[in-house]
Amino acid sequence: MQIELNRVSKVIKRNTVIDQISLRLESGNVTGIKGVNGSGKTMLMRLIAGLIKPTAGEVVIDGQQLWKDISFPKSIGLLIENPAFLDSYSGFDNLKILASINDVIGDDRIKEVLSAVGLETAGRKKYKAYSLGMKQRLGIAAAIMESPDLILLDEPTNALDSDGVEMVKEIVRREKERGALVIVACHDETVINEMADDIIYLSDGVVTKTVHKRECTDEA
Amino acid sequence: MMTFFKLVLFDIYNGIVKKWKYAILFFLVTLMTNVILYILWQDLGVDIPEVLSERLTFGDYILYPIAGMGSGGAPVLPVLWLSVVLLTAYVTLHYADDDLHGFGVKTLVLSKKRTYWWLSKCCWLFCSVLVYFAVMCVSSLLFVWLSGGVVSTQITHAMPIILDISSNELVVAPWNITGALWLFLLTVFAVCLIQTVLSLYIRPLLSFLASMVMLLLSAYVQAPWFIGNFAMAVRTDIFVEHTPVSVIAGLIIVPVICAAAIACGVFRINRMDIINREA
Repeated sequence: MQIELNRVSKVIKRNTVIDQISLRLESGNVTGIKGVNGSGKTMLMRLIAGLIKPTAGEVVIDGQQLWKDISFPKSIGLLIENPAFLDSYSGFDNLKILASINDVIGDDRIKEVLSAVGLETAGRKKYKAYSLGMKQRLGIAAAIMESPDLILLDEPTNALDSDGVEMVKEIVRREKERGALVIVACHDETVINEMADDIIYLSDGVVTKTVHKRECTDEA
Repeated sequence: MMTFFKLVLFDIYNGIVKKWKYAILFFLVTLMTNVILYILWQDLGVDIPEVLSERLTFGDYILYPIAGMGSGGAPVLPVLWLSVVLLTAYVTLHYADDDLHGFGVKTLVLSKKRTYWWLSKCCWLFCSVLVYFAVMCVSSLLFVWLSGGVVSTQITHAMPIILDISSNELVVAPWNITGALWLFLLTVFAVCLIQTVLSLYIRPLLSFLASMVMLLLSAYVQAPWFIGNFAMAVRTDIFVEHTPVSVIAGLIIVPVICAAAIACGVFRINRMDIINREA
């Protein structure tokens, strides 16, 4: 999978939240997005996910332009802002409902991802009884369960304890090895440094710096 | 296409079956109006032979809460009619918007087509209105059975008196309201659909207020371009002569309005940003 953002801008209520961003992202990489609150991390994620329309520029995924050729990336898993699930269903049932849309995975895979995020026993509990951390874990499970080519994780370590943070790192590492393109927005410098191959620094909707860690290592 | 049907089934289960309490509410509201009508009929105190010889029918009981305001008599706010239509509008107000800002984002992205999401919501809305109306009918049928009424969609001579319809405006009996019932169902769907389309542009509460204004205007302005008129059975040509509210015309106009609203929704959903309400 290859994603290209060509001079993408987004203006919401006269505020430029993304300003002429150009990027090229490829499979098998973990791209970290770093920035303070309001820097445009989530908006950039939403642009890539096809949830918001660029005011200018284009988002091209494998040669197909979002909002023109396709509505959403063909194979995507996402956790953007707070995970939203159905309160009256269990974690397992929530995932089962989502899985039923494309019908590409079965119950075994759902159990497998629940186990991967540490919800093997809590998967049967109703979502409304989940703690914030458990909700976050379920959100991550939903994002990875269909083994998508593109995974967008916005602040995946929110509300997680140190074990949870390690779990996220492990999942991101595994998804990268599988060949997925993983984009992680995170405000925690240490976490993002450990996970990402490339780091994009955002400030007021503008890319201020891009660090290619592989190149840094090669040069060293 | 399978994805679309899965979304529809999900919406019907999650938006209707899981919200069974609303159906109970419609059942109880109708039961209450049935009791009120029965008491009014008992206390009618008229010596008209036709009225005295008849028992109330299913048509009478279902007509009473959805009759609306006749063109003659004092311009009193049709509280019952307004309550039933607004109750339907209110219970269907938040589902689509909540879905679009919550779990629905995931189903939307996984289904890959924004249009599927919207059409699924239209199907859910139609099924909701149909189910709630069916519950009202069941409630009335039950009351007919309990009170020894007649299972018929024919209206008795007591109803124009109870509904305060001027006798010189009435068409010659018998009055069968089957057409008016279908028109009511379609019009309520149209009102809820317009409200849901509006909620894609403005906040749901504002779209509900817009529905309320539209219905209030319909109550006081008897003209077919105020869509609520088609939901008022006593204004249709089934009951009154020289009315601009024709059932046949309504059964053509209202589906056209629904189709236009669905098209507006398709247009909007394919262009709108899906962001948090705070953004």
